[in-house]
Parts: sequence; structure tokens; C-alpha cells
Amino acid sequence: MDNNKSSREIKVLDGNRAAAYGAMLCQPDVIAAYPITPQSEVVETLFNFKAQGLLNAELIEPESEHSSMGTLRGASIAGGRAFTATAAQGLLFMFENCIQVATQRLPIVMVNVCREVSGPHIVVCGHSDIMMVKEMGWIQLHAQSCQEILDLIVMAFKLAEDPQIRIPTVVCYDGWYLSHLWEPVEIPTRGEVEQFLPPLETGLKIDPKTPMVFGPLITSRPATEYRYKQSAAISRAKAKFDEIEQEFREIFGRGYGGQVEEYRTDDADIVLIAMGSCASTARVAIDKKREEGLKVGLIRIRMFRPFPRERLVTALKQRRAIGVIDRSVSFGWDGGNIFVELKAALYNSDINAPMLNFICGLCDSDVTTEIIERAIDIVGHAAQGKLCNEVTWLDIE
Amino acid sequence: MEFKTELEVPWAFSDKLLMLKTGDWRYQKPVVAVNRCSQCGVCYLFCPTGCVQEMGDHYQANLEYCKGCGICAKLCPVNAIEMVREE
Repeated sequence: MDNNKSSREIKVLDGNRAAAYGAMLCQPDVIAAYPITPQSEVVETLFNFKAQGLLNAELIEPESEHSSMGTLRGASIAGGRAFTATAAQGLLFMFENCIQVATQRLPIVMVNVCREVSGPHIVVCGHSDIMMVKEMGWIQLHAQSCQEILDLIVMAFKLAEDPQIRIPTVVCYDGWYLSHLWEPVEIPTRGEVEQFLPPLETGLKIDPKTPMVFGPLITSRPATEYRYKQSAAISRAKAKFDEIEQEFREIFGRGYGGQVEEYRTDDADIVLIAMGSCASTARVAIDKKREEGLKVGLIRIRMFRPFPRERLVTALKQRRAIGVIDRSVSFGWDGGNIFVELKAALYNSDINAPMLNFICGLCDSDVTTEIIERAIDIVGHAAQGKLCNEVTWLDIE
Repeated sequence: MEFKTELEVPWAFSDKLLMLKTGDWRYQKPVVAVNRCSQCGVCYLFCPTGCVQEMGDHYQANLEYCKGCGICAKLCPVNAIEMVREE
């Protein structure tokens, strides 16, 4: 294990450059991407890699994100490994093709640099863009550090391309808070990544001598069967992701816990649930509250689709109160998206602890340690049996 | 659950995909007088389902897919095709 550690380079990279390194190491055949803030440096760095001879891919800058995903659909049908990156409005513009590639089970990997969707016109961090993807049949993974961005992209290709899965996968990280944060990142060697990620074998080849059919007009019965199989495959991705993460740890010497990562939860009475960059802020707040004697822990969701129901139910047993931090709103549900999902997951479990929702960090608001401490205090009150509001918008409380 | 299609994904070689047999919709079929067919190929070009096949000495619709619309019979310049009602 970890024999190559000495030959690995450590570079100081921002999240976007870490993403470009992750994609480059996986040697995609086709990259089609359209630049959009805060993702632009991903594309810029990949073009640089190509110019330096580090990347052998066909690099295409089409006229829009819709065409990017359309291009990748063709590339993937032709048997190629395909990659793109986008954010917010660009992601929304892609939607039609995103759903097509998911139903056609094409193992494309995409990066989404989470950005609040405009209007009013805002070019800032938030999870409102990526939450729209949860019903589209994509696997959705969330990073918390620049190192994890790189690592998740390598894992995402392996997961998406697994013959038992074959589901496109989106790796998400927070705009600005991660995309423009510079951190030391260990770059795996090309050899290690090749060992971890075998060449893509889809059994697809565009050849006029043996014509194939893709996405034909079909009747309701087989179409329903394809939906069912797609649903079963995305569910299989939960256990497969834990497995892949284990394999990753054996080769690269680091891991993050698979679908969810737990921090100081062993004896925790109250638990916070968070996703993305604010989870690292939550650790600092939790350490501080621990020093004050409060038994509080953190569960970080790394896989949002498929939703890690089983792992969360196990991790939330025996808690006295639960707090969920959301960086997006499920309009019409009066709560955040993670909160809504978690409530559904806990139905019919034996968990009856009070569960509170904290909406914060929308539209570029900083999720500070003070904000998280405030959330912990409120959850602490709930654990003592006090009646609390179910949903609190912490930034405008 | 018993699946009607053995495929995991809706892409495959054409013989493996469960196709819509549009021939089921037909109430009349084109019958070709082989000795009259001049092999001009007009029926082949204009068939909306693309089911007309070249048979060597004449053209013939594949009845698994022919919907019986009669366009081939209408366009045939030598009146070699007759639409015959099916019961």
C-alpha cells in the first residue's frame, strides 16, 4: 500500500485546477465544455494540458452547454471516455441532453461548480443549481476540499463506467469557496490512476458494417423496463461507491468514508448534517463546542444521489437531536432539499429524535463558524426537549 | 419480475431491440405482380416505413412492418401493385 507516495507530486492548486488534474489523469477521449463562471479555469487548464502534451483528448468548445452534452453523448455512444464541466445557468441549459444521456446509460463524468441560479442576477455560491439535477438520473457526489475534488473525479469515472452501474456522474464543489480556494493537493501518478481505472469497455462501436440502434422509438413495456433497470442501477451505486472508495484507499492511501463521512459521532448526542465546503467549517465549530462539553458530531453527505438512506439511518440511531444544514431551498416544501430527503429516509425507521433544518449560505452568504455554532445551540435546545422552529433561516434570523 | 427485453440499456444491434411490429396495424396488403414489375424502385423510395425490399427481380414490402397505406400501389408507374383487403 502507498508504495508510490514518494513519487507523487504535491502542488498548490485551487479547486478548478484540481478538477482539471483529476480529469487529465483519467485521460478522457473527448472533452466538450463551454466556459462559465466560476468553472472557467477547469476548461482553461485542460486546454493548457493539451498544449503541453499532457492530455491526448479531443477538446471541443461548442457554442453552448447544450451542445457540450450533445457532443459527449455522441462521443460516449462511440465508446469514448467523456468529460465536461459547467455551473448554474450552463447546467440548466444542458438539461435535455443530461436526461438523454442518463436514460441511455452513458457513463459521462461532469463537474458542476455549484453556483446560485440567477435571478435576481447573482454569480455567487449556492446549491440551487445542482439540486435541480436530483431527479435526472445522475449520480451526484459532493467534495469538501481541493484534494477531494481530484480524488472524486477519478472515483467518479470508475463508478460511472462500472458494468453493473453505467450511470453518468456529476462531481460537485462549491463555487468560490472551493473553486478559487488554493490548497496543497497530492497528484497521483499516471501509473496509479491507470491501475485504479481500467480502459473503458462499453462494447459500443459506431461501424456502418454492424449497425446499432440508440434510443429508438419503443413501446411502453420495454420503455418502462428500461426505467426500472435505470432505477435499480443507480441504487446499486451506493454499495459500489463504498467498494470503490476502499479500493482507492488501498492504492492512494486516503479515503473519506464512502457515501457519508462521520466526524466525532461515536458518542454524539446531537448530530449536524452538512454537504460541501461548509462541512469543514462545521468541524471547527464542533471542536469548539466539544471543548465546552457538548457531545456533538458531524455527518457529511458525499453522495446525494443515490441518497444514502441506509447509511444515514444507521448513523442517526440513538441521537437526541439532529440538525440539517441546507444551502438550497425546496420551494413549496418550506425547507431545504437535504432536510426534505432526510425526513423521507427516516420514515419507518425507529428514529424519532427532533430534526431541525437550518437554511444558510444562500446567495454567497458565508457559512461561518458562528453560524454553525448558532445551529448547534438551537439543536442543543431541541435535545433538551424545548420546542424549536422546524426551519430557521440563519442568515436573516 | 419477468423482463420482456433482455437488454439493460436501450442500445443494441437492431435484431436484439424489441421493435414495434407496425405490420400489426394493417388491414390491406400490397400484392406485387412480379412479371409486371419494372424494378424502377419508386415504391422503395416512397414507402413511409422504409419496409420495401429488393428481391432480385422485383420489389416487395416486408409485411412485418408494412402498415398497408397503399402509397406504393398509388405511385407504381406500371400498376404492378394491388392493395388486397385482409380479414
